[in-house]
Amino acid sequence: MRTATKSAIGILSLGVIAASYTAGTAAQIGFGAAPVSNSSAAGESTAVDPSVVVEPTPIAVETEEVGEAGDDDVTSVPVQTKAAATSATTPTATKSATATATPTPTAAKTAAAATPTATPTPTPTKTASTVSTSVAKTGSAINYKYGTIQLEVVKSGSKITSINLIQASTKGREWASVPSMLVTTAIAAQGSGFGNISGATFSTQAFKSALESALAKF
Amino acid sequence: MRNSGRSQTTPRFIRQIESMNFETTALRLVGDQHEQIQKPALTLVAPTGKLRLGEQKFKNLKRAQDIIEMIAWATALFVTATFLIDGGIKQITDIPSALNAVSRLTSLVGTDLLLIAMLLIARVPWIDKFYGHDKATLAHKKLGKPILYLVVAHFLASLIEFAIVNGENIFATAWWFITDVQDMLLATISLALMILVVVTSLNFARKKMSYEAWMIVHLLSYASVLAAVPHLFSAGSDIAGKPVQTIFWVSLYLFVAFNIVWYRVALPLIRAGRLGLKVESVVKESSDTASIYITGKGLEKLRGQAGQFYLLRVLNKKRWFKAHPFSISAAPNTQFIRFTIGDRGDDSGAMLSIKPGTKVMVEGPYGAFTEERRTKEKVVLIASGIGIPPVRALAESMAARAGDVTVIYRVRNAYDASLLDEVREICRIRGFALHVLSGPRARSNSWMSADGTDTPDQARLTMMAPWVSESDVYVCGPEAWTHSVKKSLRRAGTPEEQIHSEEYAW
Repeated sequence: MRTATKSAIGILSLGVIAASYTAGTAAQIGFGAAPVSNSSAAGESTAVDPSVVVEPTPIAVETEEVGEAGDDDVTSVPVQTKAAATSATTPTATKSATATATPTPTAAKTAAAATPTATPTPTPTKTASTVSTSVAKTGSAINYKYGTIQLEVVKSGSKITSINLIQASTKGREWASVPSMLVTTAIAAQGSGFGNISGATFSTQAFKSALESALAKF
Repeated sequence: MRNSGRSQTTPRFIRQIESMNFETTALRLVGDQHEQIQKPALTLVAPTGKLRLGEQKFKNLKRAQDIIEMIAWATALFVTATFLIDGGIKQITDIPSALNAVSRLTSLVGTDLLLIAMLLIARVPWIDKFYGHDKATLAHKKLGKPILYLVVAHFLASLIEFAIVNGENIFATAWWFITDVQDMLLATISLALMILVVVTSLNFARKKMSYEAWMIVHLLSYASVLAAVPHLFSAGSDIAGKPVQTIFWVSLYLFVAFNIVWYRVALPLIRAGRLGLKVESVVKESSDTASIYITGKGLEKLRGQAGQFYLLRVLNKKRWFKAHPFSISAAPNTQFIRFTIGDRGDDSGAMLSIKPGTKVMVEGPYGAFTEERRTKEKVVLIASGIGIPPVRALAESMAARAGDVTVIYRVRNAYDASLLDEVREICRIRGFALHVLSGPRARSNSWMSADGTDTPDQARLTMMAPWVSESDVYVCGPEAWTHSVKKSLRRAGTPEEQIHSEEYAW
């Protein structure tokens, strides 16, 4: 390169790097950085002991599974999204949904982003339509470094409609949102063909194995 | 300047040279005896009629180079920027997350450079045109080590990160990595292959290995690149689920793959099928050089220029897998391609005994040692030994009036010099000055022959070509010799951009 071009490109590059660094600092992306709210439907526990491995109970429950999935203890793990990270600092997200509420990934996303106290919208149409055709299978429990992940996959025809977390332990409370994110991603990818969640390689890998074992049972 | 240096025109009567068949007889050293040999009649091509010259040509070239380099730089900048926008720095909170950031950044930049390095060696015409094959190859070589360092850093950073997080030792982690994590076995194989490829390309190793062994190992780099692809998408956190990055990386991979497959494999094969090249005859030019005449259909479609070279592949059982670079020793014409080859003790020696009728394949033309680089009215062509073929072709076809071109030919022995008779004849017909420097060296570091005086090289050069500082100079010869010629040229005042040389960089 000619010297003049080189200098111009050099200055421009520094600008681009500085700008993208600033953009990167402003965005809430890393898991460790964002405080995670953990609300429960029944309001039993608003504060979770950080040392305790969080065991999120199924979040998406189809009508037919309500009986077996535990009707008395339906704890919903909020679907943590990038946009929601700042607003989610208020851990008093009340949830008035009934046990049959199925927070679809998109619904949860928009709700969390817009109003922290929003109620995940129940999707009655889905409940009605999937009751007859949905098949749910539970995969084997996958033990990994931070505990166990076991999934129940609900398929309507060949489509994965929801994934329920039967057991999903993570490293600690700030990582509790990882399994539900993985659920969202897995439903979007319709299988285990998706990339790692940065910083959560172990959980991702274990989740993928659990998902595959559940899918293998169909 | 007679026409303000904007263009150069060959006089009309010289342009009709085409119709002139000329026969030369050459003195050949056979054993201890000189023998007169009748060479086949040779038709010269019509020289370039008119050629655009001037500073602007050089500026345009530089601009094109700047644009290509800017695009290359922009890809590296883009991957760094996406990493930063993605919160790559912000995520750092402790040692493992810092290592994670190092691992991500090194892999992004390393992969980008790796793809650029592959493109540089793909013999892509649009790179060759602006840089010449030798400079592209040199850049490719220079990138080898930095890429390896980045990839190794990526591997180690990930390994240590997981070892800390797992609380296990490195080896246990490595084992877990390879056996349990998706696609990581392939990625590890890829790394091992890449280390092998780079180490065998280091100078000390290259010297000990045969070209064939090195080539086979080097071909593994394609396997290495491909083996690393799955883990980018399954285990990597910078591509999957990120549409912009996915589009960028997938298109970059596809672009490089297309260029390699098309220009290195498909095009040469298609051409080989169409041209049906065959060796017509092999004519001895001196005691250790010979010309190979190759004929085929539609040679003009190759669109070669004087000064360029082809990779010649002899299609027999022993040698089809290896290609040798040879400059054409006669300007491109419709009847034949001619290479003049010196016996350098290696495979080129065997080329001299190739049988007429043998099928061959050429890849190319490559090289920027052509008139396209010329910006001045006057030209000095300097060759040594087997560096004469491109100079001979240039002298035949350059746009010039009588007196515009000076040819300097350095040989050991004027009675055993390859193509000297032809060069003489061309210079006579076109009115070029020819200086044959034969005999032993003047001094140990001189590129000229002894003339009995102690005159410095650059002084003798300016006597032979008084306008050397205002000329385009084309130098072709062995590396060390070329180096000292360039030194003299600089001392004589020829600016760097007017000196053209090409090295066989393999």
